[in-house]
Amino acid sequence: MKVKKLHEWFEDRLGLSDILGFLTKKEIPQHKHTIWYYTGSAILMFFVIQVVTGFVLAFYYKPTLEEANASVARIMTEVPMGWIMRSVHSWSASFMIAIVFIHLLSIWITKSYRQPRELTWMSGVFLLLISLFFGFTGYLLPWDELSLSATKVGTDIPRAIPGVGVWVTKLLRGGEDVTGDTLTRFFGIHVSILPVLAFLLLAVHIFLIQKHGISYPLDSERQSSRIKTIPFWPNFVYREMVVWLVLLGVLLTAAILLPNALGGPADLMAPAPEGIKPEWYFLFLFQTLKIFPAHVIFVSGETLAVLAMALFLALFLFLPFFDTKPEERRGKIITASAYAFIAYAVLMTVWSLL
Amino acid sequence: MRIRPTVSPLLGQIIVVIPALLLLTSPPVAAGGRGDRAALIAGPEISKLSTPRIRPGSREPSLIRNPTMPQVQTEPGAQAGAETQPEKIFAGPKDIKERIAVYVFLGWLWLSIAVLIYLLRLKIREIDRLYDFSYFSADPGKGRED
Repeated sequence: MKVKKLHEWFEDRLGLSDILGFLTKKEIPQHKHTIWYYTGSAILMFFVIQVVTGFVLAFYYKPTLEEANASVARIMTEVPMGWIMRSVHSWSASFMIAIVFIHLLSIWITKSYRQPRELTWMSGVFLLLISLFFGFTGYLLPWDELSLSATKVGTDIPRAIPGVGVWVTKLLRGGEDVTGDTLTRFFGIHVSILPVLAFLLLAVHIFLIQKHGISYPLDSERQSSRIKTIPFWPNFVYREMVVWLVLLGVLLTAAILLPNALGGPADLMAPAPEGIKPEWYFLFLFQTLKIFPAHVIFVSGETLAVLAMALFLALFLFLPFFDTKPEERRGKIITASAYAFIAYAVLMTVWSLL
Repeated sequence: MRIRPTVSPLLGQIIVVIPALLLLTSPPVAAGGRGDRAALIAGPEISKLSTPRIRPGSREPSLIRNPTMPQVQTEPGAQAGAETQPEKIFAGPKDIKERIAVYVFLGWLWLSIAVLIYLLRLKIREIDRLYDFSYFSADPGKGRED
């Protein structure tokens, strides 16, 4: 009786049955590409894990030149299960970015960004950029030799942009070089600006998905065939739970068996160590920069590489506007370019690792 | 009334023994404490940039291959710190007890996941069946269109 009254109290104030009714009416198509639908909620799961473990790490981390590395060392050696917390945070970042890539590539290949879902795609691309920037800013926080050197390289890349490049580098670093100011700046961006942006964009992204519904694959639309559907709640959510459980198991196993080590504290006077490499998700970009010649006629190779990347990003962002006739030749070329991009990224990553 | 345990003692022993065997065969993980690292990095004043070490034959992007790399003005205290080879900290269980606990936890985790997936599978079958004959639908006959 009391439970019923409590339920009614919440029902009057929150209208939960309306939300549940909406979720029950929401239908998920079942076809050969349904597997890609699970990537969206998997990203959300990893994002929540990142937020929770990030809060715990923030209790102990000190973003100053003197204490950053020591505080991470303390987390790893003195805080109970602190090393697991840090490892889960790091691994879930990698998992999240991997699944964000898979999510976007699956949309690119299946052309799910078709009208009227252009803004959904664009918000997704911005979320990918935010995820990458999360990874980039987080990489410096342990303040060890590798992270310092990689950040020096990473923050120097925008310098090649004509006009605003030097200003962007200075803005990122908080000065001419990577120093304690950069560390504080990166920490601020990592724990305040990026989470706010991520939450806002995530809200917009989810709202747009709810508004337009789940996209159907192009081939089924072409055949005008009726596709099987299941309700989002509870049929699809239970299936998603299976995926979450497996991913959670894999994440914890990886975090426990392959935890991240911590290098010695960064020395601002030391020369850059050999074999500096960024996180795996930047390797293909890193290798692209390496293969560009130093000069092409009168233009610096780096400037060309950075401009080429910016052009690719712009094309990627506005992809739905170019791919308006997916069944024609141009549409097929755009689909083939998705496979070409995957092949290029894998090749460059492997090359960089060799 | 006697309550039967959910997991048999034999299964429990397997979960404890297998990780322990794994543990004995795996290399040890160092997880020591460390001294005050603040002394190593205290107070370097940066006015220029440092020259990097470049691997022969390799081409590094941007800052690494830039001959006008920033140089650093060293201070006596910081120079002394730079000479000290900093130790690398490997994460992992601190002692054998914690290591066993961690492997036992992993065993239980996967067992729990397997059980939960089995239960979810039963649940999915049930709700799919109910949906197929429009059990929850206000409009009978509107089930899944196969």
